[in-house]
Parts: sequence; structure tokens; C-alpha cells
Amino acid sequence: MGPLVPQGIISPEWDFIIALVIGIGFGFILEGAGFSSSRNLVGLFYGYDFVVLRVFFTGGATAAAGILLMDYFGWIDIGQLYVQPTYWGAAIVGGLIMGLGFVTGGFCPGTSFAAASIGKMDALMFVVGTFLGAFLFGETYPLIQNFVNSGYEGGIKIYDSLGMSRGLFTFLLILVAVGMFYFVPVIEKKVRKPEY
Amino acid sequence: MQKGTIFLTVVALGIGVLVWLLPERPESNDIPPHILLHDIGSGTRFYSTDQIASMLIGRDPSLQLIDVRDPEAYDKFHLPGAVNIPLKNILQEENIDMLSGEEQQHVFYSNGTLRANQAWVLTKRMGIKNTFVMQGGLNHWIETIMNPPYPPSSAPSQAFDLYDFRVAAGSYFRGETAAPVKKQKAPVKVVPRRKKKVTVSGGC
Amino acid sequence: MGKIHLNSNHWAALLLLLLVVPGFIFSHRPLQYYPVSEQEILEEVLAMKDALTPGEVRKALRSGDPSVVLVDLRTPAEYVIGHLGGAVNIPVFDLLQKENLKMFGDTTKTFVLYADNEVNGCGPWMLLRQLGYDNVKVMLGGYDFYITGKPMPKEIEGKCYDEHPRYDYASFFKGNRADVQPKKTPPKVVIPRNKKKVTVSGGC
Repeated sequence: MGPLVPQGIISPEWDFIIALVIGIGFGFILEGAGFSSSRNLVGLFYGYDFVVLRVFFTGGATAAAGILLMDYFGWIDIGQLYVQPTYWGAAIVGGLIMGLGFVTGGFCPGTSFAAASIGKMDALMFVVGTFLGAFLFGETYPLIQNFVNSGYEGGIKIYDSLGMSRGLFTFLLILVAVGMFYFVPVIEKKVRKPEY
Repeated sequence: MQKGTIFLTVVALGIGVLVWLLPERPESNDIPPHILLHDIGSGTRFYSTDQIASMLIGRDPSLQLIDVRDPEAYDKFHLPGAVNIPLKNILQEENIDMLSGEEQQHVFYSNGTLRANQAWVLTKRMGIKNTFVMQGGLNHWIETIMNPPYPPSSAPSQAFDLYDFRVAAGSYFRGETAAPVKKQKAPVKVVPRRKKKVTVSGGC
Repeated sequence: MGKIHLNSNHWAALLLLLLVVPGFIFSHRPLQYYPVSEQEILEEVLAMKDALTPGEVRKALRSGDPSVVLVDLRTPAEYVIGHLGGAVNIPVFDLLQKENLKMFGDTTKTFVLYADNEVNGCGPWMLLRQLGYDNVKVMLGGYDFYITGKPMPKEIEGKCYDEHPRYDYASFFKGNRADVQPKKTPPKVVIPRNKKKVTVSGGC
């Protein structure tokens, strides 16, 4: 039956309403997981708090296993899911900018909105910066167009590139995630959380 | 170590092994048989020759006619704008790619309906959405557009309108004059004039 | 309640199990919908080996061979009005019902499908062939041709009745197809008019 929108079971006009509902849920979970605190977020970098890693690994592993199982049950069709195409040049530089901004500012785009919603001034500036950056990108797009589109690979998938089945890759992902959950507390104990 | 942690670890690893062992589905866009049966049973795939004629006259850019007959038959005669994909070549990759394009309606035709219909069933099974069939094929095209039967005098006025349209379309495709096509939407007054013309030509 | 304490971890794991277990129980999606590939079907369709002429069907009916079962794909009303001897009525939309598929699974018998015409018989036949039933055949001409009692015309004996070119198509056009193209000129007439309009509005 699924995916619901490309199959026409839910009409595309409902896209925005569904996005709104999912967005509210996502923001709720982000705030609930403590992602609106920049101290929790940059803890990953300094090594005293790995909540970000835990949440995102859990999310990734659950989604991967769930989609594979649902495809097997016939509830969803993997072939019809949209795969974001890969651009190597833009991905590497964008990742560097994002990581640098993350560790200096203490938020990523999504969490800055979650933090702004509970009234944090620095997060609010982050949101303003996000819009300014998007505006600048749009204005300078003709200049950087060649770079943005460089290294195009299409919708490649990591398990295809590694030459393994997607089931095996998902199993390894879960294995790594579980390993992390046991290993990470050891680091957390060694690194003392700074007092503010 | 907490009991809950061990339990969760076991569940996670169990799901992981399960996912690993699942047989992988070969990649294909085939649609389920019951949906294919529904499409076969219902007539939504058919375009009438009249619809095709009016789309051709209107130069509808969304229409792409596809002649599934042999190249020899295609060279002898084909409808304007049609491309030739013989039925035996329909599964070739470049043809499938072309048929998968979603911006056009691909209408198959052949001498009759059968071959076009077979092409349609094959492409439909493969999950291609925009394929259709011209009902009756070229035989019906000749019978309706090029050589329309005159409706009996008891027929409703729509039948006469349709007849007028067909006569005009026929002369358009014969390459005589395009003018009557636009007059076709004129009021009913036109009908008696046409009638006279037809009887005269019958007398000849 | 004090002894069994469920924390949020347990709830999450339980929820997952409640999704996975019913999934395995109610999972009906086979790895492949069709055991027979498109290419094989295309070759069979081109060879038309499984297509019987009305004459062959008549012969089989006269011989009283119990292994030949006729299947009427038309609606029950049409079936009641008239059908071929010993035919079973399976309206086309019921083709994939369990008991019908079970019937087609009987390999000791040969099933001959027919509908009102051969086009409506061919689609269901192709569907059953794609699902791997190779004891299914289709009658050419369909019921409407069969009851006329006429033998197949000599020139189309053994071929598709529907696909026989009944006319010399090119003769209706007499090489005038080239004349169709000059009719691209009328749009050119429209363009100057538009230009005038633009200048007028500019003057305002």
C-alpha cells in the first residue's frame, strides 16, 4: 500500500498538513530528549554527554529495520521511496560548515527551532542566521552553481556501494548502535562534565 | 547492568538478525495481479477514434501515438505524429524508458485492438502509468473518421453532430481543408446544408 | 501490580513485537507477483500458440472431450442469455478469486477462455499466463463471432480476426499526408493578430 503520497492513497494536497503534524511530533521529541539545550548537544564533541548519538542511532536503526520489515510485509514499497541524490563537493563542504557551526553555536538547524520555542535568545539568533544563510545562498546561487552541483552521483545507497545486501547492512548498523550504547558510558564516566 | 538494558539489547539484536535473514525482493515495479485484473476488466484504457481525431486536430501536445505494427506496415501508412514501436520490440530498454515518461499519454494502436491491447497489458504490468489503447484500431479509424456511416433520420441530434465532426475530421486528415473543423462548433443550422451535400455526392 | 513493573523500554519493545508478529502472520505479499517474465509472455503473445480458432473449439465440443473446459468471461446476464456448451461462467472481475484459481490449477484439464470479442478474452488470458497457469487458452473471435457460425475467412485463418487489415489504409489518404503539414500555417495567421493587440494595449 505505502508509501502513501506517491501511491495516491493520500492526495498531494495533504502533504503540508501531514508535514505539520509530523513536525509538531518531531519538535516535541527533540525538546523531550533535551535537544533544546546546547550543553547536551555539544557534549558529543567534548565527550561528556552522548545523548545526541543515542537518540539518532536509535532513530536510524529503528527506521531502517522498520522499513525493511514493512517492505517484506507488503505495507510499503521501498522502490518508490525518494532517495536524496548525492553531491560529493557540496556534501563535504556543507558538512564542515554545519559541524563548525554546531560546535561553536551549540545548535543544529532543527534543534535551534526547538530551543527558540522555549525562549532561548541565542537559538533565536540561530534561526535568524538560518534564514539569512538561505537568502544568501539563493542570491549567490549563479556564482556557486557549478560547485553546488559537483560530484553528482545520483541516488546511491551505501549498501550498494559496499556491495552487501541491505539486510546485512541494517544488521551491522544495529550491531554498531548496540555496541555504542555499551561503550559510550565508559567515555562519559572518564570525562567530567564541566560545571556552569 | 540493568535488566531492562539486557532485554532491549536482545530485542534489538533479534530484530537485526531477522532483518538480515529476510529474503530480498527483486527490484521491479510490477503491479499486483488484482489491480491489473481490475484495469483489464474496466475500459478506462480506451480512447475512441473520435477522441484521438479531435486531439490530433487540436495538436494536443500531451498525445503520443504509438504504432505497434511492423515497420513495413508503418511505412505504408501511419497516423500523423505516430512513432513506430513494433510489439516484438516493446520490452527493449529505450522503448520502456520512453513509455515511462509521465508528461505524455502514450496511445497504442494497431490494425485492430488486439495487438495494441497486448502491448498495454505488458506495459501496465510493469507499472507504467501513461499507456492507453485506441479502441478499434485503424480498421475502426477508417470506418468512423474516413468513411463515417450516415446516421438514420431517427437518430438524436448528437449523432448528427458527431457525423459532422467526423466528416470534417476526415477531410482534415485527407488534407483537403482544415476550415470545416472550426465551423463544427457552429449552431445546428449547419446540419441541413451538410445533408444536401451528402445526398448530392450520393447521386454522383 | 507491584511485582511486574513495565518501564518505557518494555513498552517500546512490546509495541515493536506487536507490529512484527502480526506482520508475519498477515503478510501476503509474495516476493514476485508474476512467476513468468514479461519477455516470455511477449514471445507467447507473438507466437499465438494458445489461441484457438472457433473451428477448433467447435471440434473439441463435438468430440465431447471432458478435459476441455470452456470459461465464459462475460457478465452473468449475458451468460444466461446464451453461452457455449458446458461453459463455466467466471465474470472477469472474479477471475482471481481463490476457488477459481484453484480450478485453473487442475493441470489435467485445458481451459479455453472466451469473452464477447477476442480483445476482452486476451487480457485475462495474458494475466493467467503471467501468473504461471499454462493450461489456459483463449478463443479467437470471441462469442460474438462464434455464434454467427461462420468459418474464419481463408486469409485470416489461424490469425487474429481483429487484427486483419480490412482496408488499404493508405488509399484513403492517397499520399496526401504531406498536405497535412502545410496546415501548420493557420497558427501563423494568429500571431500577427496578437502582435496588433500588444501594440494597441501599449498605445493605451
